[in-house]
Amino acid sequence: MSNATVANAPPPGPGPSNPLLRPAVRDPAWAGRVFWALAGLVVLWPTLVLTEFKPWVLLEPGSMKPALRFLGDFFPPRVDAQFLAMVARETWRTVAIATAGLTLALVLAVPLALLSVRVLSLSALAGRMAFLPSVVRQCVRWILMVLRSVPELVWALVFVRVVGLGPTSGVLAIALTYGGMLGKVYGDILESGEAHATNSLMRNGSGRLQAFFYGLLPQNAAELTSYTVYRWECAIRSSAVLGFVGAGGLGQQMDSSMKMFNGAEVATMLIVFMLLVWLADRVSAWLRKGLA
Amino acid sequence: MTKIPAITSTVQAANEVYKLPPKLFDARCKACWFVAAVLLLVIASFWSLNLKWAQFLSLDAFARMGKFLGELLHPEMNPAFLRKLLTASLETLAMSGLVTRMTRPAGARRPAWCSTRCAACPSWCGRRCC
Repeated sequence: MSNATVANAPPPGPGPSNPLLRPAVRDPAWAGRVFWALAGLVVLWPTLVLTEFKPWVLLEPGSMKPALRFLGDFFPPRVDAQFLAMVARETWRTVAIATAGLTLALVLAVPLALLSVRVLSLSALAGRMAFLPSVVRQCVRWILMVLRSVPELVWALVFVRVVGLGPTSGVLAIALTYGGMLGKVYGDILESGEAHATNSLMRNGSGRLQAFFYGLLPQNAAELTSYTVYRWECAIRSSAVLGFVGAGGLGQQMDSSMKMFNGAEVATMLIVFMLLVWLADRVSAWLRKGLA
Repeated sequence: MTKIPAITSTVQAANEVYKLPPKLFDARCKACWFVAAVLLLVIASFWSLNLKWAQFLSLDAFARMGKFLGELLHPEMNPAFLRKLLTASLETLAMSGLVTRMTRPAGARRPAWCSTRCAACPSWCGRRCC
């Protein structure tokens, strides 16, 4: 250690005995780093035990064989006309569930986000926010938290019990969960941006909605849009998962193909998913370029 | 002394054409077409899905929903069940922690591609990079 220090040290100056001219060449925060690395290792052990993390089970002979056979079935994907027509129909259903769910989520999220944004508070312009508005904003944040803390799968199972199998439960589940997520993230985006223009507008007598439309929204439009498109992409994926509990769409078909171990059909559907995600990505990139 | 100008076509308009706001719809406006496409997609989605609003808003559905919500108001507080729940939540926490640890090794800083500026931050980074 000391040899390395000497080797890395700058050549001795006029006063080699002066410690200020020969700073120690070592990490000043090494004690903290070593402590946290050891603490991480100590926490890692119960984590591994609790999760029953045993990757060597994968390497045992025979355990990988069914999975590999299933994966081998993926090639070639099934592409006959009848199957493709069915996939196209179900793809549209999936996209429609995601779009309808996201539309309802926006109906829920936009007003709640506007209610919860602290930047749009008139009383906060002069010091602390008044008591009632701050309580209302906190309550709206809690509502959003409740909405998004229940996973969409659970909402879907609840609605399947109420309205029966079909796309309605999927749409409602996506609407509630994504309403909570979108409302929270919209609020965070609007609050984390530069508030100067908005504050100036409100100080000079504009209404809060005017300040939002002329100050806050143009400033954050690109990020709001790209987050919304990203959530649409997530909604497509989660409507596939909801299909597994009977909410219709591509997921339901994938579920039945999986149960019959039909790898070729699963491969085709996965390719369709990749295409949808690619499409959402392109749309998002184009919108960001236009709005930035 | 000054001559009053005759009212002819040489009088300047108060608002020149180029000062007026653009027309709401223009065939070359990509944003208009995009908004129209999005509206069409939304309408087509609701139309084609055949959502059972009548069934969802029926008295029967409300009764079942009310019953379910009523059950939610009385959470199970049995100690044996709570102990099971504690184990399950520890497992969930351990799984998420392990995955985070595996994908992001100890001591690693924020990845370089997550810049500190929100505008340059890819959406899949999440909000953490801002």
